[in-house]
Parts: sequence; structure tokens; C-alpha cells
Amino acid sequence: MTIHRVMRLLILIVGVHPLMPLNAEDLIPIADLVNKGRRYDQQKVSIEGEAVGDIMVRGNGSWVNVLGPDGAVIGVFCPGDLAGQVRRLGDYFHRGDMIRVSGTMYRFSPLFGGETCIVADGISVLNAGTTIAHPLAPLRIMVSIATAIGSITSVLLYRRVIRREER
Amino acid sequence: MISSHTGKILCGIALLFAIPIVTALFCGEWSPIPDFIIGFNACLMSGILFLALGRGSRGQLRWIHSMAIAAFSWFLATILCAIPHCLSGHFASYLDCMFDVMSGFTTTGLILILDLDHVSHALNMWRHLLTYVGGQGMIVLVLGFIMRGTAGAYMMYVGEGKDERLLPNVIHTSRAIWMISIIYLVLGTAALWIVLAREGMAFPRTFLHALWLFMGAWSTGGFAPQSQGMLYYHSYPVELATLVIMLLGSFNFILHYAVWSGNAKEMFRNIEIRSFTVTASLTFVVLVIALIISGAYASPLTLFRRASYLLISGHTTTGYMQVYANQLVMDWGELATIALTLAMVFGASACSTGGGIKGLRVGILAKGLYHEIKRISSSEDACFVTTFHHIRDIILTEQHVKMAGLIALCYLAVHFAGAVLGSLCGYPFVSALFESVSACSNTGLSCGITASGMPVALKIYYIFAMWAGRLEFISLFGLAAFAISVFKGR
Repeated sequence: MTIHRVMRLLILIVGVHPLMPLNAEDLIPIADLVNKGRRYDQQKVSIEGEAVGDIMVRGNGSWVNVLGPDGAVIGVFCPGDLAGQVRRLGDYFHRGDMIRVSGTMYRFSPLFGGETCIVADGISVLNAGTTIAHPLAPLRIMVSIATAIGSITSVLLYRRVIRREER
Repeated sequence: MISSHTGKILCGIALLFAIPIVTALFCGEWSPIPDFIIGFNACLMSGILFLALGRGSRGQLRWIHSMAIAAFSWFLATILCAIPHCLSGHFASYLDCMFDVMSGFTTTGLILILDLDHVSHALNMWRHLLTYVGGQGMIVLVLGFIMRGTAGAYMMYVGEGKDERLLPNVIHTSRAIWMISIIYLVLGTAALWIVLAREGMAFPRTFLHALWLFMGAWSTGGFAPQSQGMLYYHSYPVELATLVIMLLGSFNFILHYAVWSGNAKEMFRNIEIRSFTVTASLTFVVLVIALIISGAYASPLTLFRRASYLLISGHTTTGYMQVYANQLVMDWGELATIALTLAMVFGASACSTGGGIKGLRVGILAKGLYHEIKRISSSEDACFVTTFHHIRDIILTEQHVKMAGLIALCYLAVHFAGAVLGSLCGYPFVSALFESVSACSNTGLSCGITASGMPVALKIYYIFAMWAGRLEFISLFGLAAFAISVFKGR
């Protein structure tokens, strides 16, 4: 192997290494962390999911809530500015960033008042969040107009009947 | 007569649809607006139809009519107010929608909604509004602001599970209840807004979450805007603020009125507060012992924080949880589950937003037992009375004890039947009992049974249990009796 090839290989390893995925053997569904907390208590774990809601900055770090594909959600405490990589959070208008988090799982964290949570030591954004479209459904608009006409008609008819009876 | 009053109530409920529509407009959520317009029109047209059917009805409103009106209007409102839920696409079936609406109206808090973290602000506003209105009572709302005249008003007021008046006139009572609730709404929302802002949330989500958390806590409903519930905030100040609001919401409105009127001593003399203090203390001791045995929390402070919040949440029948549902049985253990179940059974105060058997009845039953023991252990010639203090000193009579006992028996029967049904559906008995009690006492704590995939029979039963528990059974008996009399042609 020539020196150039060795250099290229070294550059590849050094340059790509931080981007390489965390050890996939530790990837655990969030529902499992919640339901089998004893097994993973104070263990190094990795999870994947969508960052939702709010990033709540608190003193020496931030809280991010991660929604797994299984529908379970867990809180992740990100020390320092680790959460800064998360740009988009999931809500009605958006699908949040899909992130992979590695850290220590706590069944009842002594640091956070007994919370079930992960204290992160690494976050990587797998897919950036996207906008969720909520187009107005033409049929629904027509039904809402039709029912509105029905309401107005019924109110007017009722008032007319009442007035006739009063006379 | 039932028809015309039901129609008025539905027309009043229809007006509530305006609030989520305004929310959607402010938040730029155009897609949900037609959903709420359709719901509004359906509710209004149904109300007009019932008014039309009942026009020209003569005669006086009787108790059986009032009970039937209360039960029937709650049921119809549940069906109609579920329309926006169904159209949102966040529910697996219309039954699930009705489940969530009944859970909101009855201030239970059990939910079947899917993907709550991506729900519109309009739908979240609607969910929380239903629990806020349900806490005070939809009939109380209509009596306070829409109905003119008081003919039959008191009977309908009682039909909704309240039988105590703040003021001699029940219309004024209804308005006073709403005045108290709205004042607390402003103060409580402001307090939570400040707390959430300090905890790192950004505007306008701070305002909306503050408003919704207040509605959920004050109404002891337990709805939260995110799927994790209270776990979402990871915040002791938020827990503390909601704890105070829950306690306030669980107090009798008469007690609030008395204290506001300058009678602060009532807080210490009232039988409901004393009963609540005793039962909460006893169940708290059992819960702490259970948690020590389970070894879940190493630190006493952490144990106290977790146990006290969940105990108060259960006893006030709010349902906010800062632990995951499955952890209750798996990590806290069966003894802790039983302690929480007992707390839910005892419940909050009468004429409050809370559920359960209620502190007043528990206190009366305890006094009744004390009276019997004293009578048996005294000489035959002895003559004495037992009294209890509820705004004023009241002599305990057999009628008090009988009524308290009957209602308590109804609650226990529904709890047990739900536990048996849950067991038949394959769930462990303790878990099934916990969930059944949670539904009928309108608490909303869950050990994991309530989910979109639970059996249909259990969903239907829990809807019935929530409905029956909120209206304290008598209205449902009234509705059933009326239906039977109509069927028999009487």
C-alpha cells in the first residue's frame, strides 16, 4: 500500500469517525426503557426518536423529550449546550428532528428527584425535522357550510314557530 | 319538559365551540376550524330540535325529570362534543372519541388520544375546556348564564351531583361558582405562566400550557397538553404549583365562598377538610411504607416528593402523574397501588370539581359508626346526639348516614364490577381494580390498562363508570326510571 493510500485511509478514519453511528448493539426502544427500567438502570444506552415539544433550558443544561417510534416518550437531560444541535421540535406544524441519543439511563434518577430519564453524553441528528402539511379538506368545508345553513334555518324556523304560538 | 330543558343545555354547550375556533384563528391552524364549525352546528341543531320537540310542554318539573335531564344531556353532549375529536384523525374510533370527551366532562383524565404531541392547539384547547366546564358542571354553566327563571333550576342543579347552595337562589349559586372558578383561572394561569417561563419554556407555549395545566388541575381533571403528562416538565416548581391548584379545586365551593366571606375558621372546622386530612394521612403512611419496601427511591426527600404528589393527585381525583403508568405496579408494588386505590375511593369534597365517595360522606359514615359504638357501649337510658360541622353545626341523623351509605355502596359496587370485568379481560385483579376505581371516582391515574388497544367492553364500561361516578348515580337511576315509565306508557 502506498503512502498516499495510507494517508487517505487515515484521513478517512479521522474525518468520518465522529459521524459514525453509535454502537447499534445498545439501541433500545424507549418503551423498553420505560417498562423494563430495572434492567437498564444506570446503564449506557442509545435511543432514537423525534424531539418534541420544547427544549427547556435549566441552568447547566436542557431537557429534551424524545418520542420513540413505539409511541413512548422519555426525557433526556443534555448537559451544557448538547441540545443545541436540535433545531426543530415536533408539534402540530412540524415533525421534529430525528435524533440518536447516547447516555446513562436512570430508572429513578437521584440527580433529578427520582425521574426516569436519560442523562445524555452524545446527541446526533439523523434526519432534520420537516413541516407537516394540514391542507383544508374541501369536503369538510362544504359540510361545515351546509351544517351552518342548517343551523341558521333551524333557528329561524324555531323563532317563527314560537312567535306564531305567542300570537 | 325533558326535551325542552335538554335543548337549552345543548344550545348552551354549542356556544363553547367558539373558544377552540378563536384559538385556531390565533394560532394559524386553519384545518381544524371546519371540524369545530361542524360540531357547533350539530350541537346547535340538536338543541333546537329538542327545544322544538318540547315546546308547549306543561306542568311542573319533578325530581325524576331533573335527574333524567342531567343524565341525558350529559350523554348527548358527550356524543356531539366528540365530533371535532373524530375529525382530527387522532382517534382510532368514535367510541374512543366519546371516551375522551366523557373523561373530560367528568374530569377523569383517562385518555385514548393518539399522538398527542402533534395535536393542534385548537383541539388541546377543546379538550381542556371540556374538563374545565365539566368540573363546574355543564348544567351549572347553563343555569348561571343562559337560563332565565328558577323553575326547576334547583332540581337540575342537584341532578348534576351537587346539592349544596352557596346562596339561597340556585341561579346566583351557579354564577358564584363560576365567579370563583374564573378568578382562580386568572390567578392560577398567571402563576403557572411565571413558573413555566422560569423553567425554560418560551412564549406563547408558556401561556397555553399554563392555561391548560390550570384547567386540568383546578377541575381535578388531569388532562395535560403533552403525552407524558406531568413528566414532560421535569420540574418540581411546576409540580408544586399544580399540587396547590389541585387541592384548591378539590375543596367544596361552599368552603371557598365561606373563606372568601371572612370565615377562615371554616377551613379547620369543616368535616370534609378533617376527613380528607385523616384519610390522606393514613393512605400516605401506607404509601410511604410501600415505597420503602420496594426500594424505589434511595433519598427520603425524593420518596416524599414522589409519594406526596401522587397521593394528593389520587385523593383529589386529579390524576396528574409524574411516574410512568407501568411503574406503579412494576416498581412501586401492589401495596402502593392499593394505597392509591384507597385514596381514590375516598375522593375529594362534595360540591367541588372532584370525584370519589367524597369527604363529606366518609366523615358522615365515620361519625355514624362512632355514634353506633357510643350508643351500644352506653346505658339504655342514655340519650345523646352526634353532630358534625359543615358550614354550620348539623345533628347527625339516620337519613344522613343512610344516604351516605347508599351512595358509597353504589361506588363500591361499580368499582368492584369494573375490577371483575378487567380481570375477565385478562388484566391482573389489583391493576383492574385500580383502573376501575380511577374511572368511577373520576381520578384518571392509570397503571397502563387504559390504552387505545384495550377491549371495547372495557371502554364502554369505563364510559358508563365515569358518567355514573360524576353524576353520583342518582341521575342515572332517574333516567332509567323515566325510560321505564315511558316504555310502560305511564
